[in-house]
Amino acid sequence: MTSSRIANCPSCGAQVEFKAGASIVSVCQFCSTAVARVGDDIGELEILGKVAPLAALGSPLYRGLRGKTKGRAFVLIGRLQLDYGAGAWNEWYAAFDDGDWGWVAEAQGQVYLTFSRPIPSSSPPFAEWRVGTRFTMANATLVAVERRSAKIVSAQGELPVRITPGTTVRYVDVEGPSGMFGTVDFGTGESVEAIYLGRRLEYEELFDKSDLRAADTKEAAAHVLDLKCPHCGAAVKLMEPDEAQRVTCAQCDALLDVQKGSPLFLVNAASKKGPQPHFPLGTKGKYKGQTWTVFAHLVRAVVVEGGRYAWDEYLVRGAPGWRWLLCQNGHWSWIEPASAADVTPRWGKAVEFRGKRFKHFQTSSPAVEHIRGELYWKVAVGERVRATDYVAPPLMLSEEVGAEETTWSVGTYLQVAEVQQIFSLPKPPTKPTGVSLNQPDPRGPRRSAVTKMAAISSAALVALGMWVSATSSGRVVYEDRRPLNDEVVLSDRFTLDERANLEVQVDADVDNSWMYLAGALIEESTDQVGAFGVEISYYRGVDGGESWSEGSTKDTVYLGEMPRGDYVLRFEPQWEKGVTPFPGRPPTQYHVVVRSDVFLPSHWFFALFVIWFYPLWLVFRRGTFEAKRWQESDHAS
Amino acid sequence: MRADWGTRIYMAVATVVLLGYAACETRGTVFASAEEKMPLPPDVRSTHGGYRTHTFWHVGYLGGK
Repeated sequence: MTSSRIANCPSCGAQVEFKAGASIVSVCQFCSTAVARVGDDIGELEILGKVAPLAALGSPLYRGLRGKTKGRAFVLIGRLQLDYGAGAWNEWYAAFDDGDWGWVAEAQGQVYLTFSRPIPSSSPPFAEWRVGTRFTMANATLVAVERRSAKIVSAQGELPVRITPGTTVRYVDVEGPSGMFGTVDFGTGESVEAIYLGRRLEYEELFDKSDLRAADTKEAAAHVLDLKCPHCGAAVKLMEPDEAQRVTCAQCDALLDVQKGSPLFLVNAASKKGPQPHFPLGTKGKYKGQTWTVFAHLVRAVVVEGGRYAWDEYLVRGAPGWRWLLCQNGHWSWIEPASAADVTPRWGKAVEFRGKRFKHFQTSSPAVEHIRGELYWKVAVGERVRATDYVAPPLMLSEEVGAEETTWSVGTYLQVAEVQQIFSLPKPPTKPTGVSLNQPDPRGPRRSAVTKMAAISSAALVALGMWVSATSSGRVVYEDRRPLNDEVVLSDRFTLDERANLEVQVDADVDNSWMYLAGALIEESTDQVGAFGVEISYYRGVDGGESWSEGSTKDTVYLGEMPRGDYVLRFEPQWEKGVTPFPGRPPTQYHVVVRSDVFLPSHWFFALFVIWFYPLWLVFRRGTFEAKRWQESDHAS
Repeated sequence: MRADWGTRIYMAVATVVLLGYAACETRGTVFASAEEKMPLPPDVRSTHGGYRTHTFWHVGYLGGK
């Protein structure tokens, strides 16, 4: 910053100061005249006009406040106050010690530090800009989020640009990734006059917390004491008088306009009482380590195909700024602002936000039906926006597009018990019904854990199966091929060295005929008999020109848990001896193979089925859960 | 995070299935066994063509039952 230069106000003769070399305008603190230096010479000053008194906006910033960013120190030496019709804000002139300068704008509890940038030669005129327009600058994709006009209401101290008090200027606010922010300034014309680009920051990132003050807040609060409802005369209390734009009378529900330092103005007389909020306005709660106060309750609704879908919105205020609590069908979400530049359109109407893909859910035009409480913008019943919701449970991403502004917000699903805990409510505020658009599947964590366990169990089962298969001897204890006759066959004695199963495999030359082999396994030391039967039948033919067949020429049965010992097998065959259908014939011989200690794949698959039954059932339930969710969307089948 | 009751029950079931499978395979258990156990009827014992072994009938073994 250069040394101070002082001149005399051409209007009143008092001293006006040009502390910074970049200062072009200075506002006389005695007569409120804005004067501009002509060229570099401060000896010649031009009168630009008188500015209105500053509105108390409750700013913790003040002239002379020093700050620092990236090791560079600056001081606030002046400010502009602009009003876009629904509220005013401050733009502070930051003069850096190294001669550079920037703007520090304040909005909704945050500051926006921007610096002048060269104007690209291809900059489109104001008329061609739309909210949502994307363009690239400074190696970043920027999105136009606001396209408005604002009136220069007041100024204080020095300014780095020429202004004409009372004129209306046009601007487009843009957002970029990671808090990037900028303003395209069109002045009073159509073409770009200046571009400022920078970043959204918390106050404490620029200023020492102990240097910030709340003097303006106190000053503003004094103006709003003893406010009375112009409709019913009841006292109206404002919780955040410096930001309030609308308030409803707690007595008669009339919607009132708040203008700082002025009596309340009636916007709408009370018509009908809206639904009661789930908790009283002014209720305080704790969430994410901050204290939040409920400021307002709105009911918004949309009519789709003759059906009215309504939901409650609660405006809450905490140290980080304004947030929303949304309640639909008893389901709750915590809503925070999101940057449009962090949202990237993706294939299939989806968007990506912070590395996560959000599916398009619905686009609608909800309208405000009821208002209660204190709000920071000039809301009205019937106010309508185009809203588009995207989901990636437990998150939802919403875009609200108005004529001059687009806003994005990200919502996180809250369990009812969480809401009860946040506001220390004696009982749950709602009983949810149906499935909310961003409700996470309640079985999701269990499904995830169980599926993981099923995968581990399957791996163990594979290893176990391989071990069982490798160690199963499959020893042939009996094999015989015999012609079919009425003879009963007895096998040689065979020994089982350990408890094992037996596989009896029989095949015969059945063809449009059957055979049954009645078997008995006799344990010689105990005289215990294990009776079993093997039935083989095979039929074939042609029906209506179509060939068909059923059955098989072989079959296998298993005998379990054979204790160790000596055994003999007894077989007694029976078979079709009559005339068989053409082209069949009765069987003439059969072949028996008996193996001990065989690997049974059916057991392995049964174990695998049992392991996966529950995880697959949970996957099925997820499908029905998702179907319920998407029933309410634009993509309902 | 602590597993919920459903997950814990599933964990127990999966463990039982694995241990059960190993036990069944070790014992030679067959779930759908074709066998029907019964004591040998006395009239079958000495019937020719009965359960006696090939050795019993053809090698002249006369002892036993």
